[in-house]
Amino acid sequence: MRRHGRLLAILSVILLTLSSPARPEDGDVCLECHGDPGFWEGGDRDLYVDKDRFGLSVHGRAGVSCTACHQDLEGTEDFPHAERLKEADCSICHEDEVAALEESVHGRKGEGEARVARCRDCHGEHYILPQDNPLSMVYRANLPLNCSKCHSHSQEESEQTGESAPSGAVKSYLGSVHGKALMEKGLIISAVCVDCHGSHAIRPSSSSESLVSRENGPGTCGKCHTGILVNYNESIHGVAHRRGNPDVPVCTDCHGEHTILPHNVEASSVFPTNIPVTCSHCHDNVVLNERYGLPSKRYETFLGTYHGIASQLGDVTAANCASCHGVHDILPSSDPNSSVNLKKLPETCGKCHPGASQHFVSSKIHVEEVERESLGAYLAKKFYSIFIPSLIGLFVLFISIELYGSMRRRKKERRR
Amino acid sequence: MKGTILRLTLAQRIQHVILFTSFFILMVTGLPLFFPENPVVKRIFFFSASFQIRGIIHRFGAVLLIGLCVYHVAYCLFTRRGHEDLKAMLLRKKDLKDGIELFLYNIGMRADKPRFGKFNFKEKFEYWAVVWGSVIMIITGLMQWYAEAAMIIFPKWILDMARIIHGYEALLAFLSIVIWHFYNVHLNPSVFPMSKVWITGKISLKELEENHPIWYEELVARGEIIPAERDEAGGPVHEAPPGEGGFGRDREGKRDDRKTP
Repeated sequence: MRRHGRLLAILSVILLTLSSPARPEDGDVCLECHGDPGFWEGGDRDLYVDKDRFGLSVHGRAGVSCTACHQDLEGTEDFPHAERLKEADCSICHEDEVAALEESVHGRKGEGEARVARCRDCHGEHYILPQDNPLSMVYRANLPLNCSKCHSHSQEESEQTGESAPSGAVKSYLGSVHGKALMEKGLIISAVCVDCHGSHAIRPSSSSESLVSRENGPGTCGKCHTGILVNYNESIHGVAHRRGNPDVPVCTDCHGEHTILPHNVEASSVFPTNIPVTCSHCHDNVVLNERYGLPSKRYETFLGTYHGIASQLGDVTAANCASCHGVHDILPSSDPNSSVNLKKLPETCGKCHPGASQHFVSSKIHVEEVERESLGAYLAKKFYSIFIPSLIGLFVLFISIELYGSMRRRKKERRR
Repeated sequence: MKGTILRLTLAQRIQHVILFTSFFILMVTGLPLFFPENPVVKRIFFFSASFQIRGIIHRFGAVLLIGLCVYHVAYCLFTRRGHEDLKAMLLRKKDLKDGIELFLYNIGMRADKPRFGKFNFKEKFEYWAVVWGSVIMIITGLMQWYAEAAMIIFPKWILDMARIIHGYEALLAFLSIVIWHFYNVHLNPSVFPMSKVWITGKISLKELEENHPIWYEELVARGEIIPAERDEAGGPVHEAPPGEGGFGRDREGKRDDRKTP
């Protein structure tokens, strides 16, 4: 529908241009002055228009005339014309896009103010190329650089200029799995800015209309990661998310946003040895545990085990949270399909430990060394925490007394 | 005339070297697991395979220790020297008394030092502590090495307990060695900076008479030492029998000739 609208608009402009007998080929008139490469009035602005380049642009090819955009020159007879022209109004043809832009974070902040980002900031001016042209400013591979014209400030710079453009987002993106796929591997289908944020209708992430809001985030990622979205939607996290629970993790809570890295990169939040830390953000949170009646000390009881110790010391083969609980498809242990359901545990533990029997797994897995959970370990710990200091104390006492004795005897001998 | 007596045979000295080598390996590769969140420890395991390599080295140390224990048991049971020393190592009521007496002597409430046999109560305590510690460490260690088999045999609470014990027993062993053993063989004023018995196996007869009077008397009674004669300066003179070799076998052979019971 939109496409047809645009086509119609273009056609009508062309028709208007052609059907206006009073006007000469206005491009030619304009180019008498603007076709001169040295035409450099108005201080900072280059007033030269390259006829050939314009001819190659999406508008040039469509035969859009100068006055179609610079409408205030329509019918002008006296040249040179007024120095300042009104800004070209793209909405004459691109009504929907401009309307969306006005509503977006890039729209006008207030009456009479300029747009935060104008059409030409992203698309260019006279030489706009279609988005599938690799030379276009909005070609997928060019978008990160294009957006970074504004979204590359450091935090300090943003504060100084008072601009609210998120700092360093593009830089982070370029180091991410998506950015590297796009820029290094030339994988043009890799996610670029507009895939997650939208293009003209970008909303602040806090808005429920935003593609990157908590509500819409999984759906946005799921546009490409469809299979994972299906798994997630059925998981305990996904089910609660669909019910509108604001506390459950969405994709970005575990994977990050612009910084998303592949899971096999050490710096990734989902690298095997980093997973426990990532999960602990919620599962070691007293407020959340109490709110949802979750078992507490999951992180601590993991760290105390051989798995936890090995994982902390960088052993990627040691079991982490995801090894037993799953990843996107995590289910509560009460669910018979859960990998940590009592019936499934022998199979789950058996992935690494073929000896894990029903008899083995029927004991508590995440045990604290407290009386009620693991009496043996509790007593052992208690015993040693008393025995070791006592014995060492005894050693030190005995040694000091022996040193004292030999000192005393030496003194005595000297006296004699 | 100065003399020495063989206190540790070569076989025993080698056992000691193997013991502290395996102990060192096991401690270096095991103790860091007690402090996994320590940044220094984290830096040791800086590349991803380092933890696995640690495990392999730790198991190597374990094999060394287990092998040594097996050999030591055989040594104690099947060699005369080992058998004799094991008997001398057995704890007696006297050892407790000696401990108290030494304490009283040190604080000045006794005029004389308690008289020790071949092994004093400290040495016996250390020996049996090592025996006890090794047994505990080997059992709990094997339970973790062969986790799958252990899972079949034991319930999980036993394995949880084994893990805790393995860690704390290691810490105990480490502290005991660093504080107690290093004091006795290094820092103790009478041996500082280091007792060389572990290398030479020999102690002087003077030391023998002073620190192990009961053993000294036993040796004299058995005719292995020619008892004190007064030399010109008036000091006691000892003489060790000639041909005292480093190998237990030499001694055993000799004793067989003498047909000591």
